[in-house]
Amino acid sequence: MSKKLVENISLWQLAVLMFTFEIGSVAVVGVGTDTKQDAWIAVGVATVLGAGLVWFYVYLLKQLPGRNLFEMITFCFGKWLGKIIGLLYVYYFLYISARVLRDFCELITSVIFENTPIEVISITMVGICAYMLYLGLEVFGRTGEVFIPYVFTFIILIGLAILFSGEFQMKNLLPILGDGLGPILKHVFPRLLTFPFGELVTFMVIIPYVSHFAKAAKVSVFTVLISGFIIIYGTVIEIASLGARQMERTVFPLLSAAREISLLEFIERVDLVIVFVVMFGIITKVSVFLFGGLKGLEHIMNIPYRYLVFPVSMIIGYIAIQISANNAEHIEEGIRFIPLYMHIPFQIIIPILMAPLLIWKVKKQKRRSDANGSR
Amino acid sequence: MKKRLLFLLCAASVILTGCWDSIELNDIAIVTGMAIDPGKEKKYRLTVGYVNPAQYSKQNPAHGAPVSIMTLEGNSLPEISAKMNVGVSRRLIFSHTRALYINEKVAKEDGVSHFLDSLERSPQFRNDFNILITKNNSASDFAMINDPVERVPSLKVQKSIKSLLKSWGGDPRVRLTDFIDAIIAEGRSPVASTVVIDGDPEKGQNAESNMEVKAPARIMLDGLAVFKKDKLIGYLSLDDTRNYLWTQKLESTMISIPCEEDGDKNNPLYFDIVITNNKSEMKTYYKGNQPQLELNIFSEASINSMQCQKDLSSKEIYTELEKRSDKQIKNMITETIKKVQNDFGVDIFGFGEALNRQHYKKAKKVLGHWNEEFSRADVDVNVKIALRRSGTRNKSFISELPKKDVED
Repeated sequence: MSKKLVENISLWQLAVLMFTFEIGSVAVVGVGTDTKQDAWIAVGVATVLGAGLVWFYVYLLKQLPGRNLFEMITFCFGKWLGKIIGLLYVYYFLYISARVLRDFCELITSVIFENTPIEVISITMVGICAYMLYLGLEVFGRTGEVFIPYVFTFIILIGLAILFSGEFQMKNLLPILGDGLGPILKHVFPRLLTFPFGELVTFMVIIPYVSHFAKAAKVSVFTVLISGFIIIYGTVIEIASLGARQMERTVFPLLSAAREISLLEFIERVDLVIVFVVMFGIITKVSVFLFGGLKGLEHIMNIPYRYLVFPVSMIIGYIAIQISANNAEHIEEGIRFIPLYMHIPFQIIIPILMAPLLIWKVKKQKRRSDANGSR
Repeated sequence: MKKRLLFLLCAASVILTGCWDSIELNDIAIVTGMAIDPGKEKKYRLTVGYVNPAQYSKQNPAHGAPVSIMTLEGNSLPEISAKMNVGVSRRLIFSHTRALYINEKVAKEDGVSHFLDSLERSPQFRNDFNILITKNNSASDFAMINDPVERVPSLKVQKSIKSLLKSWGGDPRVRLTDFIDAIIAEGRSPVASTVVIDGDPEKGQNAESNMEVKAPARIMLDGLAVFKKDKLIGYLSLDDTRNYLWTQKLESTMISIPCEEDGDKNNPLYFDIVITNNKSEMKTYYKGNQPQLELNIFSEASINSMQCQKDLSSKEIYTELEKRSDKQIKNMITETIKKVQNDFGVDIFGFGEALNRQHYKKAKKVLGHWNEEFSRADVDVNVKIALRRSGTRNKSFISELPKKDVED
């Protein structure tokens, strides 16, 4: 194998990337709308489960320090089977990255640029992601670091602005748990657990490059809890300002909620702030998935991923448009097929199958190296 | 190096040409009011009023009409508004619409949901315009009555509503999303404000009418329109509108209350209280099989005028006046609720939603036929007014007058 470029990101950068990754898509499409006014409870439950899931991912990575998801798969399943499973993961990552991109394109074309062809938006967005990844993971991490203060303050401020506009009605949150816990749990698994929390499986490609790997588990779990908290905050804002019935009907809930803002008749029409948050979240999310897919290709094809960045990203820009004929198809795929046939196998089943194999193989290797050492 | 730079610049010019959707400022016309009437040949007749920007120039304002209007017929709102350019030179921008006037005939016969959907769906419309039902005159008349102070008619209506809410309260504070929410809600029926024209609409259209001290025509708020689902079924008066607001959220109001319950019928004496802080709480529950609507109102108030022979420096008088006000307001609100129960039989107050929040299991069973349940429900209004102060005087000079003079 060719000598690898060693790139490192700091723990703080990892946390930043995870955070924006989590809130990105959620800010576009909203989560848990099926559970009506209890959506925030559902998000809370999913956050706790999601934190457990992330802890499990990092636990797997700890067994083989310094190796990413694909190297781990080859280690567990052998060369050929490992390559096939790795390729499936590559497909999964690239497909989801195209889907995320499409989410954003839908938002832009239906709210802001009604006449602009969707291709232009898709290509410019994926072009930014490709350029950033071409410059490397470190640049990616630093970009996140630069923008995170704005993202964070904007989200908090939007909530406060809605509160002071008088659009915030706590009674919209009632009745709490009217139908009991049943519908919530049904919604949490599989949908809320896999999106947005289970998607963190992609970070199994990034976490090995963190400089203080030993602390990665703590930081990741903590970040998931923080971002879960912010998602709950956003969901409460959506429910309280729009009401559960309307939230169900809006395509982009947080944006609609932001449109209600009218502070002192002076601060108005701030929905573009939400578009900024969404845009940065989407860039992060697309890039993380793209990076996952590229690293996989690098491992399988044995060429540095930088050669592949531009061709693959252009393919993604194209797939994002071809993926579905209209918005309804796009959403329906996301609700009915993706969680069942893509998220659950790749996020939960394969990692769980891999766990015992990995532990057993690591032990075997250790025993062998111990034996070699004593000989 | 130079070649590279040149290439980069060329590439940038492809990507950064700006957006397809750019419209120059002098190519747009800002719509402030829309009026929907029943069409003669087609389904609707839409009138839009858009601002004449030359009127707003600071240096040399033109002496023309502040707004211009355009009317077209068609079957759906988006189509008509896109077609408006057959007569309008500029692209119409709807994001600053201030008022939507709906002719009562449209609201009564076709219902309003058909065009509300297009308003909600469009990214252009914000949720900040007023929905107004027009009585008597055609809706298009309302889009063109000039106002000497605000000039643009729709701006005038919106400002007037805003001021009224602060001073007396006569608008249900309903926006597009609230209205739509109430249409689909099982435990609440929608309401909207109504407007009438006072005067001669023909004269009011003339820009020169702005020169007159007494405006020849004026748009006036006229109470509430009550809807069942999306169809207009009746009206409530302005006083009832305020009573409706007591049940929802009343910012402040001024109310005159007779001094004695059964005082002199020919020359009744009043005292005025201004409500500064109001809190109302809705409770809906079942006593056996009988639905109970309970409304608890707590308000802070101060006295603004006093015609009665009462000494405001004593604590007992305060208590007495508080009790008078409690009773009066209780009767007013109860009457309005009973009127709605008997005349319309739809729950415009949202008692059903309160039931849904408070007793979810029961609500699931009855919300399907909630309007019938609402009509037969018992009403119980509890009002508690707390009089805090009495302006800059305590005793009224009236109480200092020799008693005899007053009685004469």
